[in-house]
Amino acid sequence: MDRTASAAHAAHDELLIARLFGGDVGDSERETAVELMGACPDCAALFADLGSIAAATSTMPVPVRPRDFSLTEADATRLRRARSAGWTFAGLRRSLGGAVAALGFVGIVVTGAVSVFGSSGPTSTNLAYDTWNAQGRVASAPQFGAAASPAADLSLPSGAVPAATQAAMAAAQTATDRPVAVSGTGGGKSATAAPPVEPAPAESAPAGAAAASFAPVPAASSYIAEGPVAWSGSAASGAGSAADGATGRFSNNQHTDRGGMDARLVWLFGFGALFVIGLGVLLVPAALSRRRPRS
Amino acid sequence: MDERVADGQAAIGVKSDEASRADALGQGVDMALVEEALRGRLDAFNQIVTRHQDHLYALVYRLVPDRDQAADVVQEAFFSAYKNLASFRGGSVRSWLGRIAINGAMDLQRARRRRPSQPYPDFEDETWQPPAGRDEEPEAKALNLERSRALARALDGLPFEQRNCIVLFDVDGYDYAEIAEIMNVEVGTVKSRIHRGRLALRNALGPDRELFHG
Repeated sequence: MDRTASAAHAAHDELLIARLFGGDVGDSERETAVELMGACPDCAALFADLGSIAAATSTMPVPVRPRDFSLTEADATRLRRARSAGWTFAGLRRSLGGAVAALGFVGIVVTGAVSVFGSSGPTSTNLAYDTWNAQGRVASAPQFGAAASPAADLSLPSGAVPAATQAAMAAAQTATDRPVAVSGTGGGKSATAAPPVEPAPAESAPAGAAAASFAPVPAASSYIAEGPVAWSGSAASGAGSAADGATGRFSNNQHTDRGGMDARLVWLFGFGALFVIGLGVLLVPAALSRRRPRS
Repeated sequence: MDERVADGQAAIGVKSDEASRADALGQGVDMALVEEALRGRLDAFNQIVTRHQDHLYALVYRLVPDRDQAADVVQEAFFSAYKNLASFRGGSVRSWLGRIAINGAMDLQRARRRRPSQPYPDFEDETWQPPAGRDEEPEAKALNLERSRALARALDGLPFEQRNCIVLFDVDGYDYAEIAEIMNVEVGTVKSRIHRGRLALRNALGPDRELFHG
């Protein structure tokens, strides 16, 4: 073999020759490889070597096993116990995973349904209230006696309205048949309810709201538009029937939706996590065992 | 040139009809033994062990060239097979046992990640036996011994992915799809590893390549 041929062989595709040997080439590649082998002695030698090496590999001596691998009765008993334990564990895992995934799925569906159907669009009362505000019938909103201190503003932390206050608000709503603005302090202790009033009259304040004193607050309508959340529908739902009846009436739509959405997002996230965990418990071991076919 | 290609491919061979018939008969016996073992007969399972332990040990030993570790892997494979016999879905018991053992060997390879300092004992050792039906002429025996020794050294120098593919394909006769399933890779990856592994094996043989000429 001359030096020129060897130099040329360095540029030849040895992998192509190996693929030809393995029968892993298409028609055009096969032609190319055969041409290479015809023209280059090194390529032909490579092909021959691959054949003889593969043949020798398949006839390598077999090592003698050092012992008999038969199972004893003790081995069999131990393995049967392990198998029973494995089945029990697998059954528990499947039950637990299925239950958790189902709970998560149902939670997601229910929370999603509440999000879609529970708060779509303003209620008729809120719509009326918005209209009422737009007409300027509230030239000034009431300010509250108990809440008139500097510490009291028109904001409430989400869910901070106590049941008693909600009941009072419901009563006020019943008495006036009008929407009511709500206020309170951080702990909700001084929160109270105040029906919006016509420009005239403090004397027209309803009996149901006797505990509240009112004073005009010029910025009340802007609070309604931009202030923080009064309370969410879901937070009020457990506070008694009066409060339930008032839910949505006492609060601005936008604020209620925002607070409710936050809560719903938390629930959605929680249920989603449950669903994923349940699926993981169900599927991951199965996927692993499929990946490693030990049985 | 085409004849030479055909000859070369015959070296990595297709099973004869006779071998295929023997395989089918063996599978029938295996399935009957599996059914008996599932009824609780340990001796039936031990007959399966007896039928396949030599093959499994030879297979694992080529992947894990350490006698004790290979023996442990094979023993664990039979334990695992017994424990999971009920989930055997039919097919070849030999392949099923092979997959279990190969997975064990690959676990061991990953755990070691370093090559043994003294792989493969000397082939003069009486614990080695030539494959059945081999020519026992002293000259041929000596040549085969030399070749095997050189091959063992060269195989040990390959990355274990390539070595596993070559051993499974060239030595144990698994097909591409079976190897792909065992190693959890694509068929194309298996082919590539085999082709590159053969080239690497040839290069690793170096001057010992002369042993394989003629």
